[in-house]
Amino acid sequence: MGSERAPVPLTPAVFHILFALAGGDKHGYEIAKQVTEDSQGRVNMGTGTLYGSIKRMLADALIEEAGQRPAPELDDERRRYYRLTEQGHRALRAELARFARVVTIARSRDLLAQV
Amino acid sequence: MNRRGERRQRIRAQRMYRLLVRLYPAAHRRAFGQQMVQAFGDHYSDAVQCRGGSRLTFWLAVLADTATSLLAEHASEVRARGRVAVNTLRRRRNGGTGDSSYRRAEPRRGGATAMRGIAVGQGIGTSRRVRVRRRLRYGRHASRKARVVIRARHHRLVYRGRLSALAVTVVLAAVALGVGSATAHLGITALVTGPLVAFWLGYRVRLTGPVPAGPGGDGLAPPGGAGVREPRRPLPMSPAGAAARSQLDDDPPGQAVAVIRYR
Repeated sequence: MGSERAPVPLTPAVFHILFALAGGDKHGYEIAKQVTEDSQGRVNMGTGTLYGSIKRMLADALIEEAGQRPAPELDDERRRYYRLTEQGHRALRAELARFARVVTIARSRDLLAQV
Repeated sequence: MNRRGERRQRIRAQRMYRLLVRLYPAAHRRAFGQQMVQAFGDHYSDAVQCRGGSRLTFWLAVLADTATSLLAEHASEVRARGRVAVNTLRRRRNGGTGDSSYRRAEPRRGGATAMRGIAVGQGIGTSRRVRVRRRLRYGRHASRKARVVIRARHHRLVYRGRLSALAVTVVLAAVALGVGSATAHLGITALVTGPLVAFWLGYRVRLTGPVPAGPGGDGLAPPGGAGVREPRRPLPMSPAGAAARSQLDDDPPGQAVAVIRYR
């Protein structure tokens, strides 16, 4: 069973997967595509990295397999869909809050104007 | 290329990727192998067939990703096995102190998995006692199955390690050399990769002499050589045998009395 509190800060791969799954249930390759889209092509998650991260996130109970899936005629039955757990939502919110704090501090120091 | 050709190409690529998936730890492969191959197929048809990307670039990216994730997965597997071994030792120690509540709380399957984890690490199908005995006699890696690479008349070149580890090394070397050649730094890559592979092979490959008969070897022969053979003993019915045989001293007293009566 996963730990009660998700580790913060999250690794980039875990953060991107959580961020991708925040939009809804997705299967493996959809997650990878969403990650590439969210990062504007800067992050290309390979299959090995993706499923390694999924394994650890399942163990930490950040995500789980989704029970609902598209109709069999619309999709391959062998695909597995994943969704965020409550703990995953909490971890993502905590990470986004951390980013927001960093951005606030950067603004107060006028660091963003230089970027 | 027509649709059928594309499909065939995709299946071929998936077949090649399936070989790479075989290098992952068994548990990971069982849980995610099929999904990985499927996701790879989607990625391949998307990147190469739909967007017309370079196949070489695609495969280089796949190999680099596979190499890094293989390292991560095997490292986490080793860490998990270490934890299992430590827990088993702790459990045994607690068992000695009579902490029966703890032992009862442990699921039986966990114990079986723990033992299987150790068995996988130390050579499947060998009893623990035999493994420990071999380890004490021949060293740390002796409990693993040795595979003969080259067999000469008096010597054998033996690989003492896992085939998956060998395959990982080969893949990593190939990836390094591929990346080196793609980035025009083949010389430097070969200089780095060569000694690493040589060191690893030196660690795992051994030149051995003939092995004595018997499960653990009979040890050194006694001095003299002829002393190995047992001396010839006289036959029981020959005169020498009769002389050598002790008769009355060993026979029960009642039997001798019975013989006299019948006469």
